[in-house]
Amino acid sequence: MARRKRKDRRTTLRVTLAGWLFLLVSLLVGLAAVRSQMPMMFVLFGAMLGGMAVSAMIARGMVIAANVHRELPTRAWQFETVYFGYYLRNRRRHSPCLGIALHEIAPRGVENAYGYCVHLPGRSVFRAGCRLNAENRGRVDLKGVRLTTKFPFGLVIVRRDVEQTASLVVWPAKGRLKSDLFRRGALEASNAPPSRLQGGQDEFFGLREYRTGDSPRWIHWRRSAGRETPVVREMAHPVPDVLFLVIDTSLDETEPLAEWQRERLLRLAATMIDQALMRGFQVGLAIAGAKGPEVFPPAMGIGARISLLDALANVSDAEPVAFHRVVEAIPASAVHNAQTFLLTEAREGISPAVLAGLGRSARHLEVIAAVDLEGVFEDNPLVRTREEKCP
Amino acid sequence: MPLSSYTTADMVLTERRRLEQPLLLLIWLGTTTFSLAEGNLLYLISCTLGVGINWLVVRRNMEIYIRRAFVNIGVVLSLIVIVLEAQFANVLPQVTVGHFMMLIQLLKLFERKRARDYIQLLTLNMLLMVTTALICSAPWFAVALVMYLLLASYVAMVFTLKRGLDAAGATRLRGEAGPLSPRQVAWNVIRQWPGKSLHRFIWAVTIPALIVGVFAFLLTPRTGGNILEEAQKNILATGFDTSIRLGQQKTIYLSDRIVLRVAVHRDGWKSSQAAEPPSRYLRGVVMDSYENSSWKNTAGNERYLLSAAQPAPLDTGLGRGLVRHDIRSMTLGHTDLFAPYPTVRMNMSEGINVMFSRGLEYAVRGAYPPRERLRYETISFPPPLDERRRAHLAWIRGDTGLLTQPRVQLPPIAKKRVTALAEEWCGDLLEQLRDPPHRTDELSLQIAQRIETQLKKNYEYTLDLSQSDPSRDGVEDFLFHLRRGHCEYFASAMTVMCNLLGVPARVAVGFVMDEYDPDTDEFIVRDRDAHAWCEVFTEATDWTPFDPTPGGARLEAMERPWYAFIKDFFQEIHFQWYQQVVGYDLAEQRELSDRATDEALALWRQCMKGLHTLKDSFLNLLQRGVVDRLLFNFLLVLQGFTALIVLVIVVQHIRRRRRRKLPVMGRRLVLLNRLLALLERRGLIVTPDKTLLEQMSEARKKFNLPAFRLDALAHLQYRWRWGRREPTPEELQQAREHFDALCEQISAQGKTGRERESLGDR
Repeated sequence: MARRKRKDRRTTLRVTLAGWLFLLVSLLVGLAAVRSQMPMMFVLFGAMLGGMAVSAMIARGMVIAANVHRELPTRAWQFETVYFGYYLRNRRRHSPCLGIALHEIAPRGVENAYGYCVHLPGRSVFRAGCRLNAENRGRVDLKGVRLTTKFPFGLVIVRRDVEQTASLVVWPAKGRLKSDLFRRGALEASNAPPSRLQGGQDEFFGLREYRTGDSPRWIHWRRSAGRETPVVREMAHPVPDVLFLVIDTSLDETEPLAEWQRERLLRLAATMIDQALMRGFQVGLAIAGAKGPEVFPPAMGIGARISLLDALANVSDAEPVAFHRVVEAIPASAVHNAQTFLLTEAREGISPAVLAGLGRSARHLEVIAAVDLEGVFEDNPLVRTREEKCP
Repeated sequence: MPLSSYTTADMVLTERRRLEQPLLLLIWLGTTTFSLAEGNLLYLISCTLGVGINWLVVRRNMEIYIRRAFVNIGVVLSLIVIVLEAQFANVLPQVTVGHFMMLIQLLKLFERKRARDYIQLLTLNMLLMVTTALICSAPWFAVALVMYLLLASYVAMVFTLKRGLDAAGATRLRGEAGPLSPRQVAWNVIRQWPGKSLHRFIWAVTIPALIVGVFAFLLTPRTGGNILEEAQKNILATGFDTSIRLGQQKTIYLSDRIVLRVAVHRDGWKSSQAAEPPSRYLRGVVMDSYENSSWKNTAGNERYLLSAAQPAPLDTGLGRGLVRHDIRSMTLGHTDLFAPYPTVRMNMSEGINVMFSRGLEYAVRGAYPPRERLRYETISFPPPLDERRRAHLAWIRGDTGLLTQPRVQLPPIAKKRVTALAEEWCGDLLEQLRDPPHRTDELSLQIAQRIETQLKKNYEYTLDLSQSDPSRDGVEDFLFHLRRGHCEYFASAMTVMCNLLGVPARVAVGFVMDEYDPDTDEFIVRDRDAHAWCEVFTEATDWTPFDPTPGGARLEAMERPWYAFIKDFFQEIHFQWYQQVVGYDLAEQRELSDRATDEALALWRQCMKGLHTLKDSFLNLLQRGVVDRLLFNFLLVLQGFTALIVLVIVVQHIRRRRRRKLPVMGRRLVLLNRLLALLERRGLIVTPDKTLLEQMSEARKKFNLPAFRLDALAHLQYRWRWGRREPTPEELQQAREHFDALCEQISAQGKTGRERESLGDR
């Protein structure tokens, strides 16, 4: 406990540029004092040094006294504003804290998270906050919050790192689908076998003659009364709207824009997932994960949405997984009812055998390559702005 | 307006005045201090006007500025002016630099100010103050410096806050897609100016900084001697002084500070019986060499230790009718001992050694003033001296009569004029000298008396010597031009004239006993009684005092107005300041360190001694079962200390318990307090480390309470606590409704719970 307390009170002190200049002037004043022997010069010299030391002590006391609690969303869309909230609390009873600044200890992109509190009286709480755009897709691991203050004179900056681990998953930016890619599956349900289940969502489809093996329970007795062969009720189990995305994330090293194109594909995938889930589709995904192929069977709901988009956000080049392994990992049951989209950088990169195998398993397979993107997908305007800035 | 400009911080600092007003005051203080230290009225008026105009403008929430290009041209022009001043005017380089800095500040006051301009103004002003410290060491400057440091720390703090807010705003803009209005930028900043906190921090910073400054002053090594003489050029002189320098344009003020208390005893004479003591003069030092308007002591430079081996006059049969002065020094710092002439014996308390010169001047041995008030006893011969006593004095001095011929050096013309005047006054007496015997002691005394009378009759007494001409010899200036002066002038003139006529004389400096206190049967000697007189030597009478200063005039000068004590107070401060602070040199530094070391060692020894004694007491207790006084006291102190600690612990415990009961200290709505108390009774854990909103959130989860009611109460509390305005009656009514609804819900839950319990029991 004591060790933890000590660690909690650990601060770093740094002299600012103004502080170094002030020190230099102080030393010159000291030299002038020794040379001139004027008493007030000695007092000034001491007061300048003392003022600097005292300011460092005051700043340290303030930074130690301030406690911070952070509130932030766990997921965010790329290029959309994220709101970070901070509760700053002064632990001291009487002494106020002034000029406390907050920074996130985070990788590039989130380091601009900045809060500032001018005045925090004793035992009071202040809500500071910041908005920022998460510019990069992926998982942002936040280690903690850095409290800094330059108060009172701006000569010394004292900082304390408050450990508060958290992570923010930034999903690929949403865009706009130019054409409706999704197909409804109900029409194709006519040749489906009669459902063996009672109740549920089975619908009456029609009557047919009795075949061997049909359950006598399915016989429609009233209609069979005037016939020689009995007729049975044929029930249809509507095929659900299922979307399955297979994403080829492998990079073609010869292609200079490969990474950019992959990001676009991911953004397309994220947009499709979002829209499909909103329209009531079950959505599945097969993608190369960090530790191997990751297959998400079709599902719907918030949990599915989060896990699918997280998977897109976490795509990296750490350990590249071959695309054929991803396809092999897809269970046939996952795609046989699904409208399957294969998103790839180039059609040529996929072996025909893999493509044929996937086509056999899937109810409907469509391949979208990078070259087709212009036709089907419009990127987020902020992405375009950024790309214009950094071609 | 760009974000980095002041307007952005405007809504945070409420108004521009928060920063600009103290900054203007700081600039005015800095420039005024420099102008006063230098004595330059032009700069004082200019800077006051410049700051005054800006002040009015800021008060009216306006902005006045000229184009930056004009300001830059003005800076270049002022640089030229300063270069010319340095070349052709006879001023110190520090003063020239100060002028330049003041001109730049004056120009920048009328510039459109951005953050960097505030920094420049602040820096320039601080450097100006450093320059002032280089040219001035008066006590008023110390006061101004303290005020300046307080104000400067305030300005620097406000400016640091402003910079932080600017940075916050700039950072926030980066996260936004489009431009924001300033109010949106400041959404996370204060709604109340932290004036009280800043005031607290001013003291918290400045006082320790000044303490460090004082330590730096005391401990920083001194390379040269003190600058006291340099600093005292234009200041007042008061009381006793060991040097005489004529021709200084100084005004002397008299102080009522009591310096000595003297009880005079003589066989058959009591001070209460007669106002006039045997000798009115208490001599400190004598000076016998006059050169360049200054008196020095050349005869008695050698000092001897007054040892116990010195034969007492009583032993040699000279003890009849001796005068005994019991003298108590009421001030610290004097090493010279004041005694009537001729003092032949001095009894001092143990541990203090006394030195004496051949001129029978006495002083405490050691280079530094004693720490304690001195008390000593002098034994002197009453006038007139008989032959045996004169012989005894000669024996003490180790010589006979006059040690060395007093030396008087005047410029030739002045010497001629002064001699002519002396001869004119004593013409008839000098005629007698030409007849054998050439010189008699009686004639010498007559000459001295004649000069004394003439001076008293023809010259005026004054303490205002601002009209004196330092280029002339002091005595010549007094006798032929000023024709007025104080005791040093009269004594000097008489001594110089006597010596020019061949009568050996010297100047004595000390005190005159005039004020008798019948209650204590003592003479009271004050600073204003400091006096200089002339001593004339004859074989028959030894050194005889003559006082040429007109007594009535001197007394008249002592009649002081009712407000004199105020003047005395400041005069005393001046005196002590120059004595203790400006005159603090290497020797005093060493003495201080020695004293500190001595004190620390003495304390250590005392502690060790006490411990040993305590140990003995314990042994005594163990061996004999006796509790001695020391042990008893020790145990008493120990018990008291333990009781104090226990009391502190109990008080802290009670306070902690009370604090636990009250979830958050400070101002809080009564409704909220009641609600929290109710929730706590129902099982909500209320800890002080949680914010109000967190507590409300927990309550919502635990009791399934409506969030909007809880949030409404919490936000009302926050608005009231940190906002500017009090809640309106409507808001309070609404809060009351929320509170009632919540209470009902909580109570209903409690009932349901009890009912469930009762059903379960059945």
